[in-house]
Amino acid sequence: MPRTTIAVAVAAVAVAAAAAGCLHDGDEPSAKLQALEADPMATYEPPDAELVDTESQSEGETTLGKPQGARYTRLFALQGDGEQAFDDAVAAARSAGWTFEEEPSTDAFGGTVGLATRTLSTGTARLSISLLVDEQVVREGVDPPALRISLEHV
Amino acid sequence: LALALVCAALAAVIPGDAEGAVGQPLRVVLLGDSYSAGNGADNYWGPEGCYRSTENWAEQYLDTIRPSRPVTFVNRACSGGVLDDFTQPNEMGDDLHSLLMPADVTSTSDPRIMPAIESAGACDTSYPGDEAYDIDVIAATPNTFGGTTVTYSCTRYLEPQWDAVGEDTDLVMFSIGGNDVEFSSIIENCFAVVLRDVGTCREKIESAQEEIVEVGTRTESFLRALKLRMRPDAKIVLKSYPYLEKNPDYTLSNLLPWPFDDSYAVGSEIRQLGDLGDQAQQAAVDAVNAEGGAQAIFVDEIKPHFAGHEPDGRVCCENEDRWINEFDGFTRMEWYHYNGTGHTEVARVLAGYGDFGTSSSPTSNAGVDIAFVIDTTGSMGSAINSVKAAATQLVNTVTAQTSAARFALVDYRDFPVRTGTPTDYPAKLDQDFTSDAATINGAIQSLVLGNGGDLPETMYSGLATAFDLTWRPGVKKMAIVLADAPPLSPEPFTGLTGLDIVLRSLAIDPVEVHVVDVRSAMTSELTEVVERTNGGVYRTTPSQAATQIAAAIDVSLQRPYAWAGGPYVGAVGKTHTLDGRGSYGIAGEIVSYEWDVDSDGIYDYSGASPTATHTYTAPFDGLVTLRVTDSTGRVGLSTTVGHASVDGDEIPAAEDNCPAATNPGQEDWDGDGVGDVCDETHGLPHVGEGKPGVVDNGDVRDPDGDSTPGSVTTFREPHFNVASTIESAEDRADYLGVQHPGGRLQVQLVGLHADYDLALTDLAGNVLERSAEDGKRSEKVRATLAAGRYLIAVLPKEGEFDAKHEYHVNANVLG
Repeated sequence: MPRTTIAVAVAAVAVAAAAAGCLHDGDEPSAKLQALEADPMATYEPPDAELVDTESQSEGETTLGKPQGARYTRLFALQGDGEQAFDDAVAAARSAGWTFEEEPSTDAFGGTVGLATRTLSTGTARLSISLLVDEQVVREGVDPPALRISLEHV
Repeated sequence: LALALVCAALAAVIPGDAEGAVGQPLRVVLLGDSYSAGNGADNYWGPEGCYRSTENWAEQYLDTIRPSRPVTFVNRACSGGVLDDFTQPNEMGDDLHSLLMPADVTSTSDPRIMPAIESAGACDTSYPGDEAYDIDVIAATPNTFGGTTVTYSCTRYLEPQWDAVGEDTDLVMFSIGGNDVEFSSIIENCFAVVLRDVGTCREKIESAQEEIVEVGTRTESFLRALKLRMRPDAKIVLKSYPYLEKNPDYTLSNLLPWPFDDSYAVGSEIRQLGDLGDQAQQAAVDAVNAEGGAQAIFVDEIKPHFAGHEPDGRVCCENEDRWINEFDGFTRMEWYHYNGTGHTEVARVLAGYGDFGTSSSPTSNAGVDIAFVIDTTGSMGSAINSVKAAATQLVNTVTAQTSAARFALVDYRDFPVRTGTPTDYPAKLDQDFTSDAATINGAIQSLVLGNGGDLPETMYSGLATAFDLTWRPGVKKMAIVLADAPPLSPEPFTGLTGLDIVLRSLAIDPVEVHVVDVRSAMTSELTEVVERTNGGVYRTTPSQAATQIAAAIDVSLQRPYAWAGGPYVGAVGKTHTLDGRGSYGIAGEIVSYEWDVDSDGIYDYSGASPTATHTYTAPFDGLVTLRVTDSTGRVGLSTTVGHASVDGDEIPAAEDNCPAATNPGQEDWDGDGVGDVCDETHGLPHVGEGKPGVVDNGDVRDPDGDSTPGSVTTFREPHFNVASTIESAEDRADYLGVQHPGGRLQVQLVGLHADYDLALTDLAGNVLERSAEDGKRSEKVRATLAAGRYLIAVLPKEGEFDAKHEYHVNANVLG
């Protein structure tokens, strides 16, 4: 069975920040993360797809001191035509106001990636839609194709 | 004639000198992340948090080139770098400050505030053009001293890394992508045992595997855009990462009893992640190379070269022959980064490529940034008309020789309150640097004249505005002032003087100040500005202004190119090798190198050798200046940062959390304000020598006697509320007994200061119900159970504990 983990990374950052002596309260999503989560593409659901994983992360620092940006990522296991699901997601993104500066292209693993940007109230955000078709780049327990939709603050 | 001279100077290439390198000049820019900047190599310099090192692999690799070619090397990599940082500013955090102002400062827009903030220096940088601050005046409020307290914030950011890359760049090198897939989180969740967690490690690596697809595509887009900034014959080197685990068969286990037991083949998975990264980056390189233009080279030999020298992630062991730090030392930013040997070995790999077949920019002076700073007060009419008439020819003549020339335009008048003309201004940026001839010409043609009032004008504001632009490192830099009146000095409101202009110019390596004086602009102070910045004065008539501007460019471009190397940063007593080998002659060979190491205007070392040694015997914070003179007597200047302090880092002692020891990253694990490196109670959990951050996961003890089901002897009846603590990272569970009367039992775990889970188990520890909220969120389980004895298990995630704070467990029977 695919598993669903939600907001794991938020907690990880919170613990990390606390351990590092930072003042961030990772239990509360940051304004940037909230802005990402409020975007239509954060709730877009591909047809015939099963949500496998959701990760949300506020901006902050890792315990080792590296900066991390706000991010909201979901992975869907696709039951039907992967390319159609990808095209539908890109169309939905365009309808939601995302701008694709380049046309989606084939990636190194035979899938397709579309990158778009949009200005949110909290700054510039990037949307990436990845059709994953190679099992090497899909987590164990999920059969490709899978669709990854990730929003992050630039 | 002057325009013809410009052509001649641009075409002249006479590199080399009696003792310096004799080959074609090589201009190299390093971009990227911590695996480029220098983490682990020590000898750090630069903006706080970047960990640039003069001993990193790039420097060591270029040391193999320097004997044969004069190398200009610019390091813009920064620890934590991601792909976005190549093309966009990288915000590095902000600080709040305040200063006292007179009582009549009542508004945040008062024109006296910004000059006062600049004088206070809290938002100053030693690295203009690289590091900058956005100043935001937040409040101006009356204080109890009868004045006004102005509160402001300084937001620090780094300029886009690729700002340092242009048509003059011969070679760009970088590593990138690790932070985009959150390499740091993988390390802490998979290897730092006090933090690691099997499930989170798995999630991080799986996420990274999926994200590599996107990062590969973004790398390809970046390479495509980078090539457009470079000449077709230039080279781009993308360096791969090493594996981060030596043992492919290393498995991470949590050692918890069933059903909480879990394991993950982290050794093979993280190595596969590295392979996937290589596959993605090689594909990106191949894709852009198929499109022509500057050639990209993917250096993929790092992994095989480092075989057997990676960290040993097992708690039991260290790799004694490692080229990558494990959890060595107190500097977290060095953990799992190349150590000194690692940097040397990367350099060795690159040296196998020679100079990557780089040619040199077709003209030795191909890179030049020119800012026109023009007086647009009413009396300048005929001079400006001359420049307008000749602008196209002037700009086109330079750009025809090289597209590596950039132009900017600033004009200045005077403060409206002084002239009475509301449309006047002290200075205005009309056009930021552009290499597009039509754009700069358009800006020049658009100049209009204002009033300006009396004779002295705000020339220094004009120059300061020009200096605030982003000048490229390693290119000739000129500010050409066209004026008929002298500068105001000290300038009202800003307080600028000639000395300020000199210091700001020198800080940018320097910007030569050339003055085309069409009437009576020169003063003794302005003459000193020109002399100290290696500029020139060109007296002429207004109608000949354009010709004299061309002459100024010609004069500058024939001067030898100076490159001071460095920066020279370290502790008092450290001996630096001052390295001017990147310098070369244009109109003649370089015959002398002179060094001013303490910013006093006196050259402390001179000779025919491009190198010298210097030891600071007292703290110093300023510029090191190299002056080179060629066989024709022409002089070139270059400046770089010089810094000597007690501890050797660049953090001001008053702000340093450990002023007695080098800690450029200011690491402070326990957040007590004392840096780890000098904090006896730093709080870094560790066992044994050499592995701070690591607790032996196999050594599960029972320090408080309640960590196993069998240890429980007390069984409480609901309703109760008890408090306890998890004593250490080795305390893997606390069990509490409950005597349940039967029915629906609810147990809550609250008041958490670390990530604990909660379970309801039978007396053997078999889980009946479990709650596993994220982080410090409270846990709750409910179960309908027969009367009897049960156990409540408080289960810290691996490595989680907070001995200072108690958790609270309450148990109640519902309904």
